[in-house]
Amino acid sequence: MTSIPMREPAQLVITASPHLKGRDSTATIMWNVVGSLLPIVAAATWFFGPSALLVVGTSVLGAVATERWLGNRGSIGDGSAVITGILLGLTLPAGMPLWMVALGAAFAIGFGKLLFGGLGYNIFNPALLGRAFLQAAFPVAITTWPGRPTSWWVLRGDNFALPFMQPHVPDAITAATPLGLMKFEQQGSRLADLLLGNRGGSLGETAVLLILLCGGYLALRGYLNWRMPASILATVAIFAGSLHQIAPARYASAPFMLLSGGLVLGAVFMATDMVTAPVTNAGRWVFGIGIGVVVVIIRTWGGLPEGVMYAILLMNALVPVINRVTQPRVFGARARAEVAG
Amino acid sequence: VERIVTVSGHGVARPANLIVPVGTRLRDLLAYCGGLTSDAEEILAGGPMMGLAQRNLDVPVLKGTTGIVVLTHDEVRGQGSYPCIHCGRCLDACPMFLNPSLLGDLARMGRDEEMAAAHLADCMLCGSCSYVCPSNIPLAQLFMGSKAALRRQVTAKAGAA
Repeated sequence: MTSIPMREPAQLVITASPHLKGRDSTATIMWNVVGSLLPIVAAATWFFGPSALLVVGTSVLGAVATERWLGNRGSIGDGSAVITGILLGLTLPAGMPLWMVALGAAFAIGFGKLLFGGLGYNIFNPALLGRAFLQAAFPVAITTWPGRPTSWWVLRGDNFALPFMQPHVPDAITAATPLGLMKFEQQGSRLADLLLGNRGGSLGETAVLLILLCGGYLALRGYLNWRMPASILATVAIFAGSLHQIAPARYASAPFMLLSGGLVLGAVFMATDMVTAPVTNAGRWVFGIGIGVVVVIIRTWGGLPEGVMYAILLMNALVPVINRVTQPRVFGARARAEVAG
Repeated sequence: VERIVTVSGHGVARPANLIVPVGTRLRDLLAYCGGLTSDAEEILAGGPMMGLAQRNLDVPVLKGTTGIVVLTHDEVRGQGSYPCIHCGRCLDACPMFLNPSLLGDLARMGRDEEMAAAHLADCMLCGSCSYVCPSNIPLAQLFMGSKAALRRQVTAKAGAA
């Protein structure tokens, strides 16, 4: 066969196999999470007015600015700083002074993520670390829950307080959270209000049904592992439910425990942070069960009304150990051991 | 001494299954299939998952050659990668139930001995982990390098003994 002249590329490209690539990239995953958080931000705005947008917006700005200032070049594009910003904002009360929010966001990204080496290397969930910092630094501001004002447009607190000045919070506009009412005043709440979000609390934790919907979307798309929310919620239901069976007067019922506080937001959006959760599926069950147990212990016997944040941070610290003891069994390893033994 | 060879990919003008003598050069094979398209960039001996990229078109069809795939510019895999976010997709994808995430971390730190303890030898370089990795980490390529490094160590030890 004579060789037919053929156009050839001057230089063939050489890359290693495999030459195909799945569709999803880390940035796709992160921006999908951002997208599914937006309805929750919208619900927060519906319940808490313009203050919600101010707090979440400031938190995102603070997180992104810190990422840009201290992070690797182009690392804003991966979307993870935006997620941290939104999540931190959603865990704060609507009336939080904005300078505190910005400080918390800077701490979340700077100390929570970049100090460890940036995306993928941090041990603790950055948003929760930022919130833990704010809780330690400004315990009063972070537990001042807004009540119901006369108009949607009214700010739910002194958002524009100057740094290091006493924020001006009239008593009349504060209210308690369902968990606070339960712990300190032995007063229950209507479950329907808890489910739909018509209650006091942090910005993003109230609309439980919406959080579950958004989480369900992410789980279906494969951007969120359902094992963690499932094991956390099941553990809380079983543990709190048995306590309630033993002494109904002393311990809250399982539905109340599930729907109040930040449990669902934490279970769906915080515990599932891929970077700070176990990498093995068995480990994810262990991780979720651990969080559920710690949440119930803190809420029931601890000094604080809410314990989701500390439960997740505590289990974050155990992730390396969980990973080590839940390594998958290699195909053929058992047969090989039998042959050798 | 003939092989049935599949010539395909978007970079080939007329893809075909051909019976060709072993030793046929890729240049002749591709010319018979109508040549390359203008955006053809990479030529693989083998399939898109485990095939090897070829340096030039003088390479002959060998006795093990089953297919030639020509990738276009848009299909060539990008080299940029994100850090590992430990999403665990590679663990779900691995047919040997290895932990490619852990192996990848170890490989980038050059900790070959720990990789051997984590059953690197069971990896068959199928590339499923690299395929699913959202951070585009070249896991299979890293493992190939670590396997070679471990083999060299074993050979060196055998030589010294």
